[in-house]
Amino acid sequence: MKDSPLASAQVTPTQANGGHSAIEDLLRGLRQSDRLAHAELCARFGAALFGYAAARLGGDEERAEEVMVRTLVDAIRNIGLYNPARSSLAAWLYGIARRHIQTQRRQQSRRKTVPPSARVSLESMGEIADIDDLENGVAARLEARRKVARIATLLSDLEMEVLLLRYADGLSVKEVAGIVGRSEKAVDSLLHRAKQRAQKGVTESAE
Amino acid sequence: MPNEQREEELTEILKRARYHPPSGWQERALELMARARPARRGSNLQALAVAAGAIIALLALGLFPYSPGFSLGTFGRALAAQQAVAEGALAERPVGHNKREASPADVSARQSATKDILGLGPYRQRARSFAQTHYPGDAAMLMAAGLLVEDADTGRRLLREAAETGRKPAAWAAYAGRLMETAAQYDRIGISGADPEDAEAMAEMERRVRNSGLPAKLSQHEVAPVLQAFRDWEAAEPKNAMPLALEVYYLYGLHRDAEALATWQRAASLPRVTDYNQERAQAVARLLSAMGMREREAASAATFSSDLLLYVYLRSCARIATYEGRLAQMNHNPEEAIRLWNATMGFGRRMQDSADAVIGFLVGVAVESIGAGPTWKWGADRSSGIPRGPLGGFRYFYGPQHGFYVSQVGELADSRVRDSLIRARVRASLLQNLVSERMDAGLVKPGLLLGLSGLTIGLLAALLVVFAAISIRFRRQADEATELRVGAQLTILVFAFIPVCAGIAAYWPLWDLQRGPALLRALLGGYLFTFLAMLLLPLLAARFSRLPSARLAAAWRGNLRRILPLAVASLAIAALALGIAGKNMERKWAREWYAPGYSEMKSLISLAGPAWTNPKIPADAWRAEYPPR
Repeated sequence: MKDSPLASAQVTPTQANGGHSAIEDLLRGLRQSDRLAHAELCARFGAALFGYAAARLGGDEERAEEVMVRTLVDAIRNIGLYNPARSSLAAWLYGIARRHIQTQRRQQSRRKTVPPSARVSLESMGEIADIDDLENGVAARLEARRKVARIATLLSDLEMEVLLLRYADGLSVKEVAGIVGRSEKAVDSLLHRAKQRAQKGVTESAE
Repeated sequence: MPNEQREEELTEILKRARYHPPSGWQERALELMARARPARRGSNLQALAVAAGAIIALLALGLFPYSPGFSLGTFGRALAAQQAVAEGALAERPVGHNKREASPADVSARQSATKDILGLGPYRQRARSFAQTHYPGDAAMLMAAGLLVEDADTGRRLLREAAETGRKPAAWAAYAGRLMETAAQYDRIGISGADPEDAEAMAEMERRVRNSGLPAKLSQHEVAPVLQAFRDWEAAEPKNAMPLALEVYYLYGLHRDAEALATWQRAASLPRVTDYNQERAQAVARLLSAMGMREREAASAATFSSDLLLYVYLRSCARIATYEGRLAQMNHNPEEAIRLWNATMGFGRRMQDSADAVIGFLVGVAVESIGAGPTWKWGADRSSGIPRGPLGGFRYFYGPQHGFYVSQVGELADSRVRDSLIRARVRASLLQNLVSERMDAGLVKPGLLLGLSGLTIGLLAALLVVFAAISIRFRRQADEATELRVGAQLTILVFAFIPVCAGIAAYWPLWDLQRGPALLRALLGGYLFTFLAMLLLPLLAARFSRLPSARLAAAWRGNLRRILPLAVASLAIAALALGIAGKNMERKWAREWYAPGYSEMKSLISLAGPAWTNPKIPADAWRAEYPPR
């Protein structure tokens, strides 16, 4: 990631949910259309939402950014509808993102383009700040993505999604259940199966 | 490797594989976020109102078969108005009824109101130019335009043209009718048919005539065009008694009483009394449908707005003859009295035999009954305690001159008069039932079947909207959440259709014009309940069909996704079947009604079968007493 005044504020969704009063302040600011609150929302959730969207869209960063921006815009337009008693802010945002992703996937399935996984993102290489780490960092990332791609072939779409939300985005089981519209018990069992198969994938990839 | 370690490794891989946003993403996002405005939100109540409005609008498709002029209840209102007009034409004041009879002016005003109810205004405005442009030289269409147009002068001109160029007796009848609408009127005691020996009744009639505001005598100048029209009509068909009979009314108004009574007797001697009611109605209906009105509606509009004024005048002529006969009796001229009464009865019977429309037959019954009034009187029997029967609680009693009549013609002839009267009444009663049946078959049932088809399409569309909404948002979750077997799906479908089927079944035998709006409301209720059942029964089933991991709401949506396509398919088939049945019924009825030479009376007589040829005469249809208790 390139340097940005907000880069230091980059946090995982769990961290982004933050303390109760911090979230309340953020919500108050969003309801008043405060620019600083917008920036804070962007900083807290933008990258995480992008990561989730990109993973669900097969690495299509262009569309992932579109999903992320639309999610944030929708969130500030509809902040009046958000009810903290029903879900965490992160779960609510991921819910919005999920609907945009589904739309993008439907559109994607109708288009005939080069698969996003076949494209090379030079920008992602630029995210490595230290030139010495470039080679190792890129190699490690490519290796990780290869493994994830292998895991994805073994898991159902829903299993892959809950796996990403739970472990890559660090959301709680309750939040994941809220996002995918399943009971916590169902998500637990999905995760259990997903982990078993993912381990198998990781082992196979290592061999 | 322990589980925790494996989990950590997996987390590490997933995190390392994460995608990071390209540079400048925050600025781009913030720019778009700055432009965002809070979304407008309606309240729950507004959303509910919109949803209810959408459903009602969809269900309102059921009204599609009715054009704007024929909004709900039009048939009922038009029929009620026409019945009021017909009552005016038929009234013969049974014994004990003192209700004021409708004057020709009243009937004329009521007829105009009927046309307004039927929403014929726009058609009446276009009628003349349309007929002249699209049907030049077609006398029938010209006649129809003349009957429809609002302006009386234009109407008369068109009708005369149709009569002269097309040599159409029906056009002469229509032309005479149009002239009579605006011709001068008068009031004389003779028109009331009161008994000259009944001092009380005569005093009342004299008072009424004084207060009517009408002159007691017409001038030759005022009625010359009408009389000329009758003579032209008579010249066009010398064997039709109708123009002669109508002439009597004006001759009596001119106080040319002897000429009037001689004309009446001459009319009674002619072989037929043809009013061309059906032919005129057919022509009007053809013109209306050519102008874009649906055939069924055009036929009913033409029937309901048919000219009844002629009948009112005939009833008056019958009263004049009966009254003058009574005067002849009092002046010791019994032969003249019997001649006039018998002529009136004969004229009534001839009308019944030659009528092509039911109204003609019924007026014939009324005329016969007026003529027979001195010897047999039609009245309600309050003493028998039988409020209803084949003759609706009415029967014949001896009239005030029964003894005189018997002494002049003999008992056998008198009993023939009585039997003929009773037979006519029984046939009239039979006709009223058949007319209702036929009207249902032609005007009401096709409309309601098409209405049901529209309602079914509305329900189908509403369910389709629900299905589409669920499919767009929850397809995958919903499909994975439930296991609903085909048997269960069909059971739900059957139960959901019960409200609408029950609504139709309960109201089917009660279908008639008057109940139209109530019926439609009830059916709408049935459709709404089916709609709700279609949504709620899958929820009930979701408790049993949902997979252990699924939420109830997801299972409900899953059940809806399984059941709604079946429901939509069933409704599509039902809507198609109802639509085809309604159209076929409508087409069959219209084909028969519009056929050249169609006669409403012949059609009804063939429906009645032997009951018409040998009507069942009730045993207690008459009483040998005067005055009735």
